[in-house]
Amino acid sequence: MGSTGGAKPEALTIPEILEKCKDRWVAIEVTERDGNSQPVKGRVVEQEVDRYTLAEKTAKYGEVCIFYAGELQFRLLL
Amino acid sequence: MIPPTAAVETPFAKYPTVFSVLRGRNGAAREYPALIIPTSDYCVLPKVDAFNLGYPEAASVDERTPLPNTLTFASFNAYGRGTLIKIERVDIGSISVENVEFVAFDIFQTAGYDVVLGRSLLRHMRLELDFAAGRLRMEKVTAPR
Repeated sequence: MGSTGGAKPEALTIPEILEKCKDRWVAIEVTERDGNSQPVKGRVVEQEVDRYTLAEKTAKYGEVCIFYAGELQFRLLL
Repeated sequence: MIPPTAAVETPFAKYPTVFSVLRGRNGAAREYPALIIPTSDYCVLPKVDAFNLGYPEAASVDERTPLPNTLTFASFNAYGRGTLIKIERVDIGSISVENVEFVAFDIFQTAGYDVVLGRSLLRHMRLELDFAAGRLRMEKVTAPR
């Protein structure tokens, strides 16, 4: 788990990333955006079950997009 | 009505979220699908990300000798403490806001979201949340409250 290796990973759509990295926190390099600058495609550069391990691994990146790729286990009460 | 200077309109699924880029004082940037919570006085980001954006003082809160910029807050179930920092710039599409106050605080990972956009940013916006249609619209206004 973690780094995707030496070769540059292929760019995937956000739904593809959600499917491929299910239930993990992912860091992507955004490769395509929509008219509102919202990410639509990206390369997964790191993925981890633990959010804080991911943050440590992404410290070396100048710019990266981070999100959880999974269904929430619980209802939100925020 | 104050005319907007920039606007973003985007769909959302269950919760109102929008991808937001936070640029720190070390020049690094982090982007997140940030949860919009208008009743939160401040925006929130994880402590470790605050550290990575150039705010090492946010990495830990010392209970005995808190920093002057330590914020005590009330949430729905407890009091909490976090370090108040100013993110150099927040970009949401064509909208840019500089020097936005964020509290470095760790929301439980199981929430699935750990970055919140609260009033410290939203006071610069006119915000429409259409839950029936699953769309949100943000407009930056020239004179924040």
